[in-house]
This record gives sequence, C-alpha cells and structure tokens, in this order.
Amino acid sequence: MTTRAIAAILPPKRAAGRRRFLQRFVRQPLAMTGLVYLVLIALVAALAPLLVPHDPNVQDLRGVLQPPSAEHLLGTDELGRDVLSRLIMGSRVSLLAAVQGTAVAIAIGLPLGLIAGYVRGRTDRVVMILTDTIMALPALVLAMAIVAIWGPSLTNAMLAIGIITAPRALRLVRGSVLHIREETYIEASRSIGTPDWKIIVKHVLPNAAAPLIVFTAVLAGTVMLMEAGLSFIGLGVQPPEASWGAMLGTSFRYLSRAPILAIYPGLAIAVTVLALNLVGDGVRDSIGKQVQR
Amino acid sequence: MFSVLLPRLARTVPVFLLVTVCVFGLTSLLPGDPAAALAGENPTPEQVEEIRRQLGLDRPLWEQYVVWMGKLFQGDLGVSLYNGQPVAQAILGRLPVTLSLALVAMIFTIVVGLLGGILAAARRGGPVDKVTTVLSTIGIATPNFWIGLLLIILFSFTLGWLPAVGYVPPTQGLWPWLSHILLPGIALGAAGAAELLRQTRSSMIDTLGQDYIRTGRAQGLGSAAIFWRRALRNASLPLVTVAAFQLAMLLGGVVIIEKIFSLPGLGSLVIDSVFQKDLPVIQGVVLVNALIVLVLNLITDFVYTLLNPKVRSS
Repeated sequence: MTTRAIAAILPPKRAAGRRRFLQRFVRQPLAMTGLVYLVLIALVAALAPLLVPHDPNVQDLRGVLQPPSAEHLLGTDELGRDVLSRLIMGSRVSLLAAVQGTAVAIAIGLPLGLIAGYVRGRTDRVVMILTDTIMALPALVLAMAIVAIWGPSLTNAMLAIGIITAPRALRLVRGSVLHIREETYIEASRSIGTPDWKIIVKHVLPNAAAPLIVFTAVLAGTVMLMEAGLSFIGLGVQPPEASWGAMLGTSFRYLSRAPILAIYPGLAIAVTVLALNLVGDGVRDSIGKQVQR
Repeated sequence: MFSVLLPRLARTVPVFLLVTVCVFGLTSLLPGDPAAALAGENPTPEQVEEIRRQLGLDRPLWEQYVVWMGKLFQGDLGVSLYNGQPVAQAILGRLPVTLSLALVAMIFTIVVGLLGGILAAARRGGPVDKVTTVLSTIGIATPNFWIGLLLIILFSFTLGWLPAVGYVPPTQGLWPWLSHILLPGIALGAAGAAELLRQTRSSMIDTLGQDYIRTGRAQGLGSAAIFWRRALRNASLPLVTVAAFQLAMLLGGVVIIEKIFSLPGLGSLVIDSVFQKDLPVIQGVVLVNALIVLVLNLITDFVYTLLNPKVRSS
C-alpha cells in the first residue's frame, strides 16, 4: 500500500515522458530545421580543416577584395584571403566561443540557483542581491572593461560574458526550484529522511532541467551575439584567427569598396542564432507542462 | 500598494552599494597592477609610482573606497587619465547624442512593435500575422550592428538617401539631425521592436480569448470597441517591460552602433576609454548606467503595480 501511495505522488515516469517529448518535437518543422542546421554547422566546425578549399590565413596581395569566382566561391577579403575558407574556420571559433560562454554561465548559475531556491532564507537573499547587482551593470561594457584589463583574447572575452550572463541562468533555475520544492513528492522524500543534497540531485534537478534546456539554447544565441560584438570591436579573437563577428568587424572598414564582405558573416551569425532560438521554442512547445519563463 | 514597493526600494539600496563596490573594484580587485597596466608600454618606475599616487592606490583599500564614495556623492566621478577632463563633464557632453539615438530607437520600437503586434493579433493567422511573425523571429536573432551595416549599404551607398556617418545637433535644424540619427536609431530599436511585437501579439490574443471579453461581446459591445478599449489596456504591460528592458540594454547596444555610424556619444566614449585603458571614464559610464537601470527597475515596478490589479492587491 505504501509503495502505491508513493507512486501516486511521484512525477511521471521519465522514459515515457521523453518519448512523448521526442514525438512532439519531430512534428515541428521549424524546430527540426533549426536542429538539422545546428548539427550541420557543428559538423562543419568540427571538420573545418578538412573542408576549407584554401588555407584561410594565406594572403594574396595581388588579388584583394575579389568578387566571387570559380577559384574563390565567395571572393577574397582585404588581404586576398579566401572568404569561404575563413567563414568555415570562423564557424569553429564562433561556435566554440558560444559553448564556452554558455558553459561558464550555466556552471555558475545552475548550482547557485538550485541552492538559493531550495534553501531559501538568508542564502537566497544574499544571492539575489548579488544577481541584481550584476544585472544592473551594463553587460557588454562590463565585458569590454574586463577584457581590456585582462588583455584581449577569446577565452577572456568568453569568461567575462559567462560571468555576466550567469545571473540570468541563476534566476531561471531559482524560479523553477521555488515551485518544485513545494511539490508533494519532495515533501514525501524529505519526510522519510532523504538528505537535502540527494533530493536536489535526484528530484529537483531533473524537474528543473526542461526550462533550463530551453533557456540554454536562447542563452547560447545571446552569448554568440555578445561575442560577435566584442570581436567586432577587436576585443575578442585576435588576428589572423577570426570569428564571424571579427570578420564583420574587418568588413566594416571596407564597407564602401566591398559591401558584400559584410553580408556573409552577418548572415552566418543571424541564421545560427535564429536556429538556436527555433530549437529553444520547439523544446518549450514539446514539453507537456506549461513552462514558466 | 506601498507594501509592494517599499521592500523593493529597500532592496535597491544594498544593490546600489554593491554596484559601487564592483565598479570601484574594477581598478583594485582585478589581477595585475592597474598602475603598471595604465602606464603603457615600458614605463619607468617613477611613472608607475606617479599613477599609483594619482589613483590613491598607495593607501589601504577601504580608505580608497570611502574617499571615492565621498567624491561620488558630490558628483565627482574623477578625472580622465587620458586627457585630464572631468569624467562627469565628459559623460554630460556625450549624453545628447546617445539620448537622441535612444529617443529614435524607442519611438521605432514602440510604433513598429505595438502596431505590428496589434495588427497581427487582430487578424490572427492572416497574412499580416504571418509576415510579422517571420520578421520578428528574424529580428530577434540578428545582431543590431549587422542591421546597421545593411542599412548603410542600402540607404547610404545604394540609394544615397541618408548620410552614413556623423552627428549634427538638433540646434542646426530638425532634418539634418534626424537624417543622421534615423538609421542608427532603427538599427538600435529593431530587436526591441521584434520583441515587443511578439509580446504584444501574444498578450492581445490571450486577452481576446478571456471570459470578460466574451461577456462584453454578449452584452452587445461592438468588436472594435472591445478591441481598443479592453484588449489594448492589457497590451500596456509588455510595453512597459520591453521599454524598460530596452532602455537598460541601450548602452550595450549603443557601443557598436555609435562606432559604425561615427557618432560621438557615450558608446564611442566607452570604446575609446577601453582602448586607452582610461579606467575612471569606464567606471563613470558603468556607474551612471547602473544607476539608470536601478531607477528604471523601480519605475517599472511602480507602473506595473499601477496597471496590474493582481500585483496591486497581493
């Protein structure tokens, strides 16, 4: 009888829920398109050195700012380098940067959000004042200041962006934990003497995961836009390496002579962020329960 | 109502104090010797020492903070290390440009976002709805500085309608001012417009399906009357949210937009001072911006409480 009673208040079986989720997700054409694009672009980034038609850093000063041709499918840049090859290598830098920044933000925000939401009380108040503080500071400007002091490099830029966006992850996790901790199965678990850390890991974390996954996709897009901004100004990845944002930054200087150079990297950024947002929307719509933002 | 707002106000004070500690800490807590970093390449020990003394870095940390805070409350944000100009003066001098930009961006956001959202919700699933949904989805994903570059390519280089760079103060005529500020303003406001459009649309659609709207209809209210008077009132909440959020994010967006359009505003001041490692200026701008954000948050909460009976009564 006891097992039955406990089974009734436990959340639904996870395997079944996962199958339902997948069924709903694959039925959304936009989300699927986004996912397929992301998988493809990740493959391109992983295999970049094998895919590039030319060495992305070899200069040809006699053939600068060339229009697209059979030799250079997307033309050449201001130093005569093959634009397509730089775009392909740039996908590597841009995606890696987005993953780094997002990972830092989640690594800080997730545990702190879990603890603040579950423990409540003074810990929660202190953590919330800290997040309010960071969120009051202008993100990009703060990132610029940190990078200027630490020295411009992609790792420093992404570390700064990760720290600055962490409060957003923290708030989201805390919000869902506040709801989850009031559920009957948590109370039941606590009443039979399960230690708090075990409740957090086994019950709270899996139930807070769904909105976090949605958020992670959107956050990766935001981080990517911020990296593009920093690299555009020259505070991100350093030449001759280039992310899409950095390519956009150099194209800006030749905008009147070769406006087409500004099109490709901008398009790459926009489409990738769009794909991330679409996948995020798709995941949100595929989760059975209403997810609070 | 004050029972809602007072705790908020009480929480803003420690947040503001922490903000000042963070901004102060930019010089003191980050790794490396800021004095050596500020002295440029191959400085003599005397130069480093001079900068250290200038910044008061030779004194204990808490004393530096207290002195700095004391000056802060007198409106003294310090002096630029680069050209010796008072930081407060530099910020005030750049403010009109950035405010002009913010104004145009905000008007663009509100007009496009609100109108688009209302039109889309009014004929849900119609052609307007489909087009605006696609455009707003793209708008949110597109970096504002790329939109800026595209606008320059189209309206300045190709069509030759509007200038690509520079700033003219409104005292020299309304059109010269507007023509220089229009493109960057649109680029800056585009993402906000897309976000507002989405939120207005979904909140209108939500409201139009509510019981009291149906009751109104059953009582014989014309659908136009219902639409404008009842449903639109509820669209005001996303408007407040997005407007406040956009103003708060403005400085971040303005940095690159001002660089692209060569506008001498706060954004270009930030870029210049970052590359010159002019920390007092960076601190001043960050602090002023944080203060604006905190005040905006309070105002948003206040307006929310006024508009939303649910918050008011709880």
